[in-house]
Amino acid sequence: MLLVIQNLEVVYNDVIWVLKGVSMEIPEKGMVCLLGANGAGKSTTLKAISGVLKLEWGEITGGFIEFDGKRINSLKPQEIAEMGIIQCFEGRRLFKHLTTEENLRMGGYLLTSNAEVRLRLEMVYHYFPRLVELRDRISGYLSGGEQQMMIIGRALMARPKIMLLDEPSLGLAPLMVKEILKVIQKINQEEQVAILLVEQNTKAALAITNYGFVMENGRTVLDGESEKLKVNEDIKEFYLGLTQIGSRKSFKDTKFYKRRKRWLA
Amino acid sequence: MVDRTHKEKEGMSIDQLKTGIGDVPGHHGENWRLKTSPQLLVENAVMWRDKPALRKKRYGIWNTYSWQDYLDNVKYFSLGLISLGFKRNEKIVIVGDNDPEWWYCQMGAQSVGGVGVGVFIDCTPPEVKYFVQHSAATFAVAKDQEQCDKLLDIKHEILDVKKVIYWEPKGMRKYTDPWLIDFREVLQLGRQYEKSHPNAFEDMVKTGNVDDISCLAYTSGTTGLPKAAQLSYRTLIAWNYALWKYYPIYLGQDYFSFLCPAWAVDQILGFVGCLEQGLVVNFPESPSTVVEDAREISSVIELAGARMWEERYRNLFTRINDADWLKRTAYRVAMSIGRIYVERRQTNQLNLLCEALYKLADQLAFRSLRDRMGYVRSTVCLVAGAMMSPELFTFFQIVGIPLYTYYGITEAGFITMQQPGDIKRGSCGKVLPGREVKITGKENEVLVKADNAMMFSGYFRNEDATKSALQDGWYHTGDAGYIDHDGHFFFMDRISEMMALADGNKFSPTYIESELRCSQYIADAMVVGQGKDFVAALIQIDLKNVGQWAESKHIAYNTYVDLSQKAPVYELISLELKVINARIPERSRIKAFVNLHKEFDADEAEMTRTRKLRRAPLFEKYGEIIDGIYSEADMITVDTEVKYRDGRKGSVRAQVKAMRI
Repeated sequence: MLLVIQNLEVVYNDVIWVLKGVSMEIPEKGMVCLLGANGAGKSTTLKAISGVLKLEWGEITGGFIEFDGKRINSLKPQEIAEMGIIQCFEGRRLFKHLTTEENLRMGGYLLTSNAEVRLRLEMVYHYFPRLVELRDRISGYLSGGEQQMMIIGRALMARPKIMLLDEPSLGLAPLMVKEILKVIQKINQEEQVAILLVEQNTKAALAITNYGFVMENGRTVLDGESEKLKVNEDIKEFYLGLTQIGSRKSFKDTKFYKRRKRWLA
Repeated sequence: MVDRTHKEKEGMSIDQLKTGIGDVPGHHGENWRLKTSPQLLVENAVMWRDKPALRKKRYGIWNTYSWQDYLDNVKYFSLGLISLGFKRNEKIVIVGDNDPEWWYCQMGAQSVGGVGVGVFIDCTPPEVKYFVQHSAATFAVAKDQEQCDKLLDIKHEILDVKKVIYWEPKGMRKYTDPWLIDFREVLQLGRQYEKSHPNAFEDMVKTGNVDDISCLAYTSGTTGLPKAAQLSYRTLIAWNYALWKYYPIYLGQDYFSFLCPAWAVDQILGFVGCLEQGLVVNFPESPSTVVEDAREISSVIELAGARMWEERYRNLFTRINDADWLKRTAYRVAMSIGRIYVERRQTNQLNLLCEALYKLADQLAFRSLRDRMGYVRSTVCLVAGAMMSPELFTFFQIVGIPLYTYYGITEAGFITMQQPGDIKRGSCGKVLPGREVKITGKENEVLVKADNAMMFSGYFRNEDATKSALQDGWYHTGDAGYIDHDGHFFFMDRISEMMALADGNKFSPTYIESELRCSQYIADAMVVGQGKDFVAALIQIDLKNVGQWAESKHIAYNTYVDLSQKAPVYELISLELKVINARIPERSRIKAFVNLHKEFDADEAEMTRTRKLRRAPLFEKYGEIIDGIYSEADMITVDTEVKYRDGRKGSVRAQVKAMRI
């Protein structure tokens, strides 16, 4: 296993208990999605893996995270990034005054030789041809989709073994979502990079991943192959908005009570 | 749309609410008022007008309703019912959580001379249909949108129901079916009706007779369809009398109503008992806040099934394990002192040191435990002693919760009850006055005879069942039990549930199961072994406690299936079973077990709504597993169908291990 998380517990500010028992395993080159409602703790899980939790007064109080057989709980974010765990934050964080290529080069900060930087840049442009014509543009002026491409590209520059993508489809046009998810899938297959994808777009996420975990109230409550999750009654009701097979739910029929969740695998 | 009678008092703390009342000795003492509930209500409203009668928590604040508010709501609701066509002796089905409206609706119907029929709130539409059809109800009350949807689902099959009344209007705006009507509208109808028929309510209440049927109490139906025992006001009063004779209470004390009113408990205590004694009925904000709300109220009496107490115990265990080191140690030390104290008290070997130590332990640990669990003000807690492990009983004694066991049935109320100062381990106490108990046949069947007042008035629409149960005045309980030389009654099991191994050795699965549930890690279990060589158990692990244990041992898990099948969890359970086996007679000890991959569920007809196992369907459903255990297979693959409450079905496929001890 590339990444193993066991019974992870995270507390913010010494009082807010966010994660209460998250367990996950991600294999080498795995393509895994993490589903859950708002506030379930998905982003916190990613931050715990990448180590940036400490910058937000969060602390791992229980359980552990292992990467390549090595504990990374107490490592600094930069040390974790050096090991090949690269996170793309939610809401497109970029150096908006720098150009696209400068942004990408920032991602290659850890690369030692210029040759390698060039090689990597070429790879990014291969996956996102659109970025070629935008290479000298100030990145703050790019469209949302282009920015997202650039950010995934920037992560790719850092020689990742696993990429943690936090809602890459946030605020993007449907066509752009499709395109970006397709590229993510391609990167996973061709570059042997494992992907942990957090997505609100459950349908799209289950379509491109092989395995999924569902979180609720700071716990993983269900896991399984994406194919199986797609037909799980609870997932259908609470995430896909389907009542009977195939029939869409109408907001007009929304009830004031919820069906009991069972999370039966 | 704030109703006048629903006026909400400003937020006051619970202690403020209580000042000025209480400590008035038991209102009626020996002089019980033999009257119908509505008659008692009218009388109370005159005597205690502005004193609190009901209290409901809404948005975190306790709202109090006086006896006058209570009466007004009941009055206008019943007049509203009349104007909608409700008549004497008709039945009204009520599906809802514990709310004042539940009380108003039943009492309103009773004022007309009608009969209340409570239905469990988590029943599926077909189950609701059974209750409505069997009771021939002409009106139904449904709490909210969810319950109304259930009734609408089966509308075409229950055409006798004239109206469905709901009291929680949220989400009901778009429902145009004239079949449905808001509770407030019914009150409005009642007010109009009063204008044209003054004194109609008072006259109606006066015609009520204490021998009228007050409600139908459905038996749990472990083996077949539930039967409806008819209970008259006189019977309910007589049962209350048996209780309060031993445990005096005071006007204005609090009763906390949280068990589904479809259970006979609230019919006995929440309705009649509180009316007789002037207790305040308190309702929790919602089912999910029961624990916190119960703590704030601290009911003067609590009557609950053994499962309820077992759950309390397991929850307490979870919290203690989560506490810091100091508290955990204090708890452990206090427990061992308490154990010695209780043992010595039973054998009358108490000395000063022992008592002093216990007092200390009580101050340091038990008092706050009782507070946390909501028993600081409790005079008496009762458990249907039938199936509670003596071990657990001792635990509650140590903590200082005044828990007593009784033996009772829906058809004849309390039959035997433990009394303070006369407690024997495992017994259900002595036979109460006015009752006779006879043990007959080689199966030790318990027969009960009681004054007419204390017996139910037959099963509704089931003459045959009534005749076969009541012979020459003796009620055949179908339970097995015995009475020892001191007159203490011991309950064994339902005769129909007793099992025998291949060598003819009899054992009681329910008893073994209750011992199993005594473990913090076992939430439920089904014991099998009829006609086999040894006894085996299907275990349902306690997700919270086993999960906590797994976390402390760094065992990762995601789902229930996942956790239940972990090898270390099997080890844990087998260790627990070894401890429990030591308490069980040698030949009925458990030799093999399986951790089930899912929890027993009433939605799938595996349990009754009162959470008793339904063995026949379970046997069939888990046949593969049971066969697997006895054929010495190690891995058993099972496909189980799961039903969701809205009627959808899914399936779970899992592999379970069988382990031998």
